Amino acid sequence: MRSSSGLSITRRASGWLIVAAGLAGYIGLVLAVPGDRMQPASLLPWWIAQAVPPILYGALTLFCGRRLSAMRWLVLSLLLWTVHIALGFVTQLVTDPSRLFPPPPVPAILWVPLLLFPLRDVFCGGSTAPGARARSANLRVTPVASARPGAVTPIKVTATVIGTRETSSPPRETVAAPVQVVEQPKPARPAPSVAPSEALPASRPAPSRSSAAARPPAAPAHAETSGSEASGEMVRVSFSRIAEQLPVTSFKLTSDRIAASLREPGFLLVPQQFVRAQLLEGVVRVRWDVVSEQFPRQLGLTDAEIAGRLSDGQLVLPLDEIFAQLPRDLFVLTNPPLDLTGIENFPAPFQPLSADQPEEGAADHETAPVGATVPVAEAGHRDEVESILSPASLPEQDLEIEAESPAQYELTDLDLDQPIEQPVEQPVEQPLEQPVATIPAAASLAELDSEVEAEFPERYLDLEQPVEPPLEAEAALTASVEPEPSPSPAIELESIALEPDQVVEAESEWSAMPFIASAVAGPTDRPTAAPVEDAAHADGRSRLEIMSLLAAVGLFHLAVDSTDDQSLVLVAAPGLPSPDRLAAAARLMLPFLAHGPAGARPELLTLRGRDVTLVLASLDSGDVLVAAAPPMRSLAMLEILCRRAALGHGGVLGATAEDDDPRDEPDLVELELSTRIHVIAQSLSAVGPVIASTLRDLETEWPVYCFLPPDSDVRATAAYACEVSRAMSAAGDEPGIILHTAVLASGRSRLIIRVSTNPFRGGIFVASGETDRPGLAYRQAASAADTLLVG
Amino acid sequence: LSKELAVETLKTVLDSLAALPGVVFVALLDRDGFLIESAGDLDRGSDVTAAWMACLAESCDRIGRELGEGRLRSMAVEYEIGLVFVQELDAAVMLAVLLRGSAELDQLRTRAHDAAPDLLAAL
Repeated sequence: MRSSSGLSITRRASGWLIVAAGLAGYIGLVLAVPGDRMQPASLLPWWIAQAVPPILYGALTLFCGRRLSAMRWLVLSLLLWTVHIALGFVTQLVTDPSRLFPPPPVPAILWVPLLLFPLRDVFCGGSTAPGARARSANLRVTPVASARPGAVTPIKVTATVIGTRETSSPPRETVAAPVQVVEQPKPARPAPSVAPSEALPASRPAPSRSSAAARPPAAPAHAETSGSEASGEMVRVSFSRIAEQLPVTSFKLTSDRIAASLREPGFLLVPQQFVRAQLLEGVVRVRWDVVSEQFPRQLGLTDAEIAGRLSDGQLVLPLDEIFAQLPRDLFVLTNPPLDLTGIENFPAPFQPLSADQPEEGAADHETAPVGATVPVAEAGHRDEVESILSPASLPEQDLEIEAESPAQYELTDLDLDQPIEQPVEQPVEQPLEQPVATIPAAASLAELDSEVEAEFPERYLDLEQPVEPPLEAEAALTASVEPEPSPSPAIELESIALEPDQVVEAESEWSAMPFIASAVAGPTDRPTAAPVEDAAHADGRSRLEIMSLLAAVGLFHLAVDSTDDQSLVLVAAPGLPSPDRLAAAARLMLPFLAHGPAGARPELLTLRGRDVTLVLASLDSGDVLVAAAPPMRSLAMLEILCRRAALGHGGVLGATAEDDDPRDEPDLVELELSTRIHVIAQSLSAVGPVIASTLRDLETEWPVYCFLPPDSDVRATAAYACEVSRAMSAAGDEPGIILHTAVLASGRSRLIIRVSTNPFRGGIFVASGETDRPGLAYRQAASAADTLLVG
Repeated sequence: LSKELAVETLKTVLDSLAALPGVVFVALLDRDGFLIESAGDLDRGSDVTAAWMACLAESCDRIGRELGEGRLRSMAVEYEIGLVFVQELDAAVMLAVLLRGSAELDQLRTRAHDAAPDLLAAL
């Protein structure tokens, strides 16, 4: 039994080694020292001297093995005493046979305690070892030997009952079963074929899908990861998407033949565990040796040669294909509860659903008649599916006409590397009697969605998980089953709040699925009659790329706001105010991204707030990227990625503004400088030498503290800062968005504008200059601003 | 004047850390991952390297909080070639080091711990 305990063999061996060494020393002592010199005249009566050893051994045993039961303590003490007597008897035989009994305590008492080194482990299971506490837990997992590559390591799992049994309680982590011993060979490399439920005790029910759906939002990623690892789920990646990374020209086979010779022709299978582990990086790679076995052997190059020609020996996988195949709950966000205050002032469909009120949209979502059947050849091509599902590819025409015109579906250009083999196979099963102006797009979206769900339940949506369709789709569905031809819901929607290109997907389950959100929340996905534009699809692809880029810092939520000529591509982290609020706040700041204080257009405009940080960058065609994140350490990386996104999509970093700045300069008067201002100016060393000046905004009576390079236009910069301050204040009208600092960046130049948030002591701090150490510049500016604005 | 001296002190301390064997790059970062000061030679931009290391620290910090283990104090992440070591100096400043090989990690950890008061005083 002890051999299977958690004791280290090495430790036990060392214990016996100590005993042996002690015994050798003891023998040497007995032989070297005469018996009479070892037995000095005892100061104690003999019976007291004989009582010393058992008392000592009892105390030592108690000290060395505190968790011993009384019985074990007694047995161990008696054992030591017995050994002591036996050893003393033998010693007396050697040294002084005339006094065999009772044997003197010395010298046996010097060696016998050494027996505690090995025996304490035997009796108390090494309770004095640090790891002993772990063994008091419910589960004991005891690897007997270290795992070596390729070695098979026996593993012993022991489950013990702790606490009371609660047979009526739901499944808990505590194992309520009797002791179960599982002894099986454990391969050094994880075996992906073992399902998690197989390793559980029989009394522990396997987690159901419904329980998985009821998990808290933050948990699924981890749970799913372990599950997928165990089940060995694969992600299918089109070979054509990664072929260009391979040295195809050096292969003996052509690219087409290689694709056809793959284990699954045309596709590369990648274990999901590799993919999930890299999702947050924004780039998913897989090593060549992971996928090499799927390729034919007659490529003409060895695996090492192929790996050597790849970047870092890895293949970069296309994110859009990967996202389409991952479980939806992987992207569930941890949004705070919706603030529905005042929503009762709005008519339907903005009323919140109560518990006793069934989700009509959801019910209709499943039972809606199928208007058009769109079989899709490959389950993994959800991007293509969603391109079809997108209302952008279903313009406001009769569905019957659309179904008879498959070419309509080719409008999508998100990714047509893998063409859909059967774009539209069936005509309309239940043709609509009359064309519906704006509803069909959304209605058909839901209907087709249902069909794809039925066809690809695991890859697309978890049917047991409650799903809220977008508000417009829900409203449209309700309208589509409404028998009375009374007022068009679409018109109602328009009259209520839904402007043609307004972001409305907001904080719903749909918003948690970035891929769907990106496909659905495009500028043409509105219930009103927005014209279909091919450019919208190109924009969609571009936006996906931007989202993939910013996913590296945890920004997964993509929305597009096209309420104005300038579209906002909003990429946000979870848990922030809704996209429409963020977009509204960002729109207030757009003029400052178009015009810097000196006329040049800044590369980036970063707005810092208490709970949110916005980074704005200009894209091509007037669009603006708005990255929204909570205050975080990755802000520097977020700015870098936003720069990259702007450069990669026709951004105009640092360009000169083409049109004149339309802003009116506020009235400013110059104030006298105090000594304190001069001292503060000297403290701003990170942005180089600055000249201090103080002005007062006559409109707000706020002082404007300027610390600018010598050749700066102080009045223009101060006026600019005042306008920025007003815009930030106006942005604060959006709930949850309180901004206090704006930073305009162009290359090494920084313009830092900080606004007082003290309602009783207003003021604006402005510092500008060039720096290679923005962190130091921000730190110095924050310190100076606190001194001036807070006091 | 004191600020200039402080900046020089920062640079001096970081240079001493960068002179340790195996140390490639040393950076002092603010809580947003922006560079306060750096030392060492890098092939790539120091701001980008520092920003990535801040991302790494943020991830680890979040893991610690999710596990209920509190805020990040220090971390060492070993890669195929090098090692990233990050130590929190206070809630707003962290020291990030890129190291080649892990043999000198203990020495670096000790020196970083010793240098922390000087760095904080200079900020």
